[in-house]
Amino acid sequence: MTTDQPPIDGRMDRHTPEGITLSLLPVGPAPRLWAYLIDQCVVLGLIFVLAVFLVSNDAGQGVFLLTLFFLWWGYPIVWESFGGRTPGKRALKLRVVRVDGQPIGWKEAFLRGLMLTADFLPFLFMTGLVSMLFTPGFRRLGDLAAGTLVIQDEVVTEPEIPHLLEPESSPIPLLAHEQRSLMDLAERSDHISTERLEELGDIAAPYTGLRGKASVNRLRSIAAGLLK
Amino acid sequence: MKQRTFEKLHRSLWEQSEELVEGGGIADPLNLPSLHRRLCHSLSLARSRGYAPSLVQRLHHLANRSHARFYGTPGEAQAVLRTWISSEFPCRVRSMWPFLLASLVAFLGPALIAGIAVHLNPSLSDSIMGPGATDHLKSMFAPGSERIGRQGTENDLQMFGFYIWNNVSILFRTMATGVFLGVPSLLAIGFNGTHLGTAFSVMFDSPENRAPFFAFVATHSALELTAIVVGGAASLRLGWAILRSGRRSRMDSFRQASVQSLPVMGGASLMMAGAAFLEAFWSANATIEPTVRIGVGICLWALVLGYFALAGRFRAA
Repeated sequence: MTTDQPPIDGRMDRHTPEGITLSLLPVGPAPRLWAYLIDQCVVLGLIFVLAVFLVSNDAGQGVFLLTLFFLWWGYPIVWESFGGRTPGKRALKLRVVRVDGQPIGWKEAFLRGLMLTADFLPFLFMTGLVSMLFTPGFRRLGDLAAGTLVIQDEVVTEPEIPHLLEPESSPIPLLAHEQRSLMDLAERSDHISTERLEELGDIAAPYTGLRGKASVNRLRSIAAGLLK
Repeated sequence: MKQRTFEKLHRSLWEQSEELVEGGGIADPLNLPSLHRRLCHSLSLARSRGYAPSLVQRLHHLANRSHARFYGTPGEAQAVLRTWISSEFPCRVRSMWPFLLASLVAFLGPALIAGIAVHLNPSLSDSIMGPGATDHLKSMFAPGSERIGRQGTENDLQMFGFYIWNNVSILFRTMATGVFLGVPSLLAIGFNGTHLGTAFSVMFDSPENRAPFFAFVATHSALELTAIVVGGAASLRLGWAILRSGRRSRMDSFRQASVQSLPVMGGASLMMAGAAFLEAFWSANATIEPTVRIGVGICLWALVLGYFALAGRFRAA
């Protein structure tokens, strides 16, 4: 994650007047399809329940068709107007934002909702899929019309403090990105398999002077030393 | 500086920012500019000093939200609804007059051709509207029935629901498919026109149906037919923006056209919903004198055309 290389994960960077870089991570078709399916299940479930209660008489049918209209077209528009997330998107931690990263309003939501029809054509969102494949940031026609992106909501992980042996200092001065890699390893070492950790320890042998597990422990001690 | 010392130094700053970003706290919003600047600075420091990714990620998340709060657009301008209805909608419609004209031709052309053809050769109407449709249409507008324009016993609310679900959805689809260079929209408008021309012609040539039919359509047609033409114009505008993007990229041109068409698309939808209301609760009511309904219909037509011709022209700058 050195800053001098272009990102390889599709991140979109914005440079702000404060001189920092903020990034957004647009998401591709697959998670968005899952979110859509969840929403569709909710909508169809509601429609089914309404149908059971309302279709028995004439006036009820009128009310049913009215609610059908507002559910069908209004569901994504209303949810996305407030916070940019439908329940399906919330479940998959997705969010709709404007291309500049700002929250969307009802205008964007309306255009997205309207264009959903065009994206669906000729069948099963083929137009939307093709559009996502050929635009930077996976944007369907609705996104292009409204100037929006669907991004991955950032998940903040609680820092896992390397539970430590004892802090050591680094044998040589470290550059910032080297230090960052070391901290990254220390924070994630609980989620990496023992075998892989040993391999990593061997790679670091010239630096730590040890091999395997002992080398990793040394790295973690140095990380602890960087921390406090 | 060790990371822990850094965290200790900045903890209160981050907590205040968090509180401001989440809203609802006791933090003073006037502090946002300075807090945001200091927060960005601390993120910058954390990055350049190679602190733990978890810390950088946490600050990045906070800075992202703080940025949105700081640079985000304030609430919409006041009286959005009023300016939209009183000037933005009609002005936008006038400004897209070439598309309005194209939409009108695409609608009235097929309507006239179908109408004249059916007038000369009445057997054509079944081939246009489907077998048996002519008789069905005539039975719907048979003189003496209490609710005209319907098959039988449907009540007003039921028809209102149906008109909203059916007609407004069709309008939405027509407008959205404008993105395919306007071709599906043109077909939809032409299809509508053909049916309309046929029905008018059949009803005009059948003396007993003539009065009930025209009394039925007079009022809501003022909103419904204009909504079809205006909505069609908005969709043609979308298609044209992609076809002839001028000096913009096609994506950019499409984006601009959608934003500019939005008030028109919303307005057309409102008109369509209004037409559904009139069609369900007013047009079909045979207890109101046909002359009254035709009179109201003419007034509404004048009102709608006057609205599009004049509204928003004289607003104070």
